[in-house]
Amino acid sequence: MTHGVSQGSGTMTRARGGKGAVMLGRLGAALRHFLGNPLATLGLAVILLLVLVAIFAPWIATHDPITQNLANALKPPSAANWFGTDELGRDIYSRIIYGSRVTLYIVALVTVVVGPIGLAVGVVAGYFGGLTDGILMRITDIFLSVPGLVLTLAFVAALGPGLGNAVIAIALTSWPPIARLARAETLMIRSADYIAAVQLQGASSLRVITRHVVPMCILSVIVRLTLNMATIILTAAGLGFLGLGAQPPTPEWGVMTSTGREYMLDHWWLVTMPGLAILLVSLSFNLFGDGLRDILDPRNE
Amino acid sequence: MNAISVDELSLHFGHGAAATQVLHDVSFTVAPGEAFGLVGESGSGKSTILRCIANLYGHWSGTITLDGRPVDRRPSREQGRRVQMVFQDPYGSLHPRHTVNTALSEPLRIHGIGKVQDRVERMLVDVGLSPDFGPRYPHQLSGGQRQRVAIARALITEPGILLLDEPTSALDVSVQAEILNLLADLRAQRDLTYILVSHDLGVVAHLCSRLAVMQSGRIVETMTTAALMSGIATEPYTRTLIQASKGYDRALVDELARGAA
Repeated sequence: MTHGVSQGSGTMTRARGGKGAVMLGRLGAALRHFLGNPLATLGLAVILLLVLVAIFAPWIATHDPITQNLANALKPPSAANWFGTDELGRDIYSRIIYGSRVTLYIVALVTVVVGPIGLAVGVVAGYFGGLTDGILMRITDIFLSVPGLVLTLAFVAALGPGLGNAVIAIALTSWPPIARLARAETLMIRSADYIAAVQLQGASSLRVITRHVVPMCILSVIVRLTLNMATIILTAAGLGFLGLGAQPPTPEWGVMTSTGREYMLDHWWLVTMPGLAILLVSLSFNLFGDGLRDILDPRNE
Repeated sequence: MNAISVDELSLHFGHGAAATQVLHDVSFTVAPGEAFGLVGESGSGKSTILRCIANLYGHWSGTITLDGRPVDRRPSREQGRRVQMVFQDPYGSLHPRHTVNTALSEPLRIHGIGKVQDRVERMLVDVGLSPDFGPRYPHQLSGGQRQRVAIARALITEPGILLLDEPTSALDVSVQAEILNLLADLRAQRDLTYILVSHDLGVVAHLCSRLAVMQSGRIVETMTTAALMSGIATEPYTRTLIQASKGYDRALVDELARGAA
């Protein structure tokens, strides 16, 4: 049996670099593809900037975000206060800088909670089917049957206002779409021959799920989670605006627009600056998510 | 004792009024070391029988025994060591995100067999590939190379029985012969028992000593390959199949059209 060896020898040298090199090559190609999309690159840049701003907030901010200075209240943007000051004389620029920490905290925490829960529920329901699928998906349907923001409000009202409770409430309402997606992907994957082949070897369900099903649907879940982040930011800001999320004096963008609303007609910068921050960041997450879908989603290949 | 014995195997899909019976009391036996062919047109239930033996379907009725022992209703590790399957489509039977090394070492890890890298490399050589193929992904392989990897994966735990579900039909004609020769060599070296499913009489005649002809979920005739070659088929359907395998024939098409009308 030599024909097989000679058949492959021409391309064999390329594979010598091993698994690492192959992975790096694919990653590089994906990165080039991603950077070819200017909007997605812009989104990524803004998100990276947001992370840097959150990390280095104490060095970037010009004032303390919480200390009040009533003598300096409601001043328009100037050299001393770049985005002006609010009704208590606090520097809005510094508050927005520190507010990025709150936003990232909520986004990261919700995503970390929602991703694994949605993935686990969806994959288990899709893989086992039957009664398991029925029970898990009806529970998911219950959560999906109420509009997301209304359900979040109900949870926060029950749990009490506060940043921690806002995170819990948002997480409770944003896992069902992830579970749905993971289930749909799993239904497609589980009938594939490569799953039958590994079942035939006598692999346990846990092994089939974790090593064979999850690697196939994790990419679409990641894309969905990224697109979800914009919604999380808006919901968190909405809760803050309604007084149910972060509480004053925490410099949260939603809270800032809410208090600024009273002064909006004469002092536009109180609402505009945090509003622009929310717009820019949620838009960036959406653009980034779209770009990510273009390169990661196997259906587009 | 027979390596494989299938007795009165029946299978339904669907429930109640919508139920369709896809296998009707199928019975046959395969001796140890024998290569047995199942031929028939698309939808005649050939592949379904293999999936029943491999227990990818669990709701059949009848009796299937392997080496005298009844098969489990669900795939099990113990049975995984005795019977393995090669699928029709080498593009769908290898995990797209697993390298050849991962795909071949997975069965060894499932069964707790040691010296993984050693065995994987030896198996690759046995199916006519070089160990250099290890770090490659399926999309970096040709169809024939993929099917070799699929055969390697099935044989790496050294099962005695190999179920072949049209192993060459998705391949280029020039590659088909290579894979068939590989399968014949492996059977001789390892003393394997084969069931080969194909709609191609030539493929079956090349590899098998005995075969069953299937039509609409039933076995219409069981015969030796020698009998097939000498043209002493008794059933009209078998004769039609033999005619059809000789290529396009105007007279045959007319005859079939008259039969249908």
